[in-house]
Amino acid sequence: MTATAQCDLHWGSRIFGPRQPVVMAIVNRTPDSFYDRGATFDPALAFQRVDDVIAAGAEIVDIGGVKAAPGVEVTPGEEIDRVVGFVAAVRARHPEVVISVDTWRAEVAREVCAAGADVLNDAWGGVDPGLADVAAQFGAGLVCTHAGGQRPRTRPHRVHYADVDADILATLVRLAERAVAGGVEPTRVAIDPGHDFGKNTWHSLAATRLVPRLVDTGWPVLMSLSNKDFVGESLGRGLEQRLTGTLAVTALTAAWGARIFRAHNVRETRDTIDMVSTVLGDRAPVRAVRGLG
Amino acid sequence: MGDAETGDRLPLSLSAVRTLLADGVRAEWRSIAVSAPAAEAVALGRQLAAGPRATALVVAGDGSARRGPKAPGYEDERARPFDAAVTAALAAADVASLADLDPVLADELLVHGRAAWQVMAAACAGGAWTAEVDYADDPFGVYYLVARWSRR
Repeated sequence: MTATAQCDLHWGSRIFGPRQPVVMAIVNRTPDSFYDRGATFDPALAFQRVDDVIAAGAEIVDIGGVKAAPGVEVTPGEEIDRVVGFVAAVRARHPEVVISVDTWRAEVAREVCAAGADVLNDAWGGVDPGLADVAAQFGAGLVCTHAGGQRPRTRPHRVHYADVDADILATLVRLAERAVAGGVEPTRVAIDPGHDFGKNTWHSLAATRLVPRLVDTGWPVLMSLSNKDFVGESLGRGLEQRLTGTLAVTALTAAWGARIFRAHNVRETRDTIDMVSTVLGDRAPVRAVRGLG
Repeated sequence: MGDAETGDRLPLSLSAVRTLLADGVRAEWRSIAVSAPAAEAVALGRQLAAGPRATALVVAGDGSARRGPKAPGYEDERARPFDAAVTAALAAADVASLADLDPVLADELLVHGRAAWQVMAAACAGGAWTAEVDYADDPFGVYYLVARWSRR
């Protein structure tokens, strides 16, 4: 199997090289997401979060209006109300930041792109084929995710894959190629194996081990690991205690060539990937004088 | 009996039973699709009943996976009453109630055991049974039932 080289990733006005891993900061516009539980539902707190994560080194903010877990229905109209105005305000306030919106709905995608979003983060893996068309129409970026065919906001229940590695690889390549065939710029597409989405912990661990082969497809690889159940189950850690496990997988997959890290804990993720880059020789130490003075 | 799959693999339910069986137990495996029509379950049950009297039947199937906000299938308010009715039927060796379980509702509630219980009901019809429910709970959001019927 031949490997395809990684290329520059063009998101918004930014160009991220293959050896330049980036942090995508999670900014939820929900009252009930699993980790932050409404911490940034209040707009003032949300704007503060955006300021804070950019200061902490995030190149991208990923704005989401609907929690991934099951719960009270959020209609497209409500989702639009939660995110569109916010996207426009963030765009005005931070012209350089890459704005990603986490949605599975084409109608939401249309509104957020019109308001200035640069990337559509399709976490449920193309359930609405119109969403990639919106990316093409607006020249926006797209994240293609493996979600095991689950309907949005459902939990996996006794999911079985004959070959989970093959399923993830084939699905992601198919989604990426379909997007490009539909007019999305190839330099704007990334792939995400979708930890915990349509997967139990065994599947998520396999998806993690698959990262080198995902990198070999040539598509930039996005890791969305932050505080997820596969980390909690691996270590026996509750929701508030998964940062270390998350960073361990972050470091491992960064060393393997994953490039975009979607995270709640931005400063810690920034330090982790920067340390890996420095070890690999892709980044210089901030200041190396010890023993050299 | 539980979720039927193609190929050589046993479905999940029967794989679980296999790991629990002691060494040296001779077993035959039959599976029936979770959504199989009741008539198919009855036919299989009668076929089993026509076999040797000394046979023990191990029936593997679960109750609803929609018992609450943390359940795999989230919450459906019909789940607990459905499971309670199944539990009562198993506790009373109530073959008729098991045979009457609504397949459409069972599917909606992610009840994987409905067809298997209907096989059991058909296999046990006409017999006199002493029933015991040993366990009925949902530690992971899916309703697990353990019951024993002994011929009187």
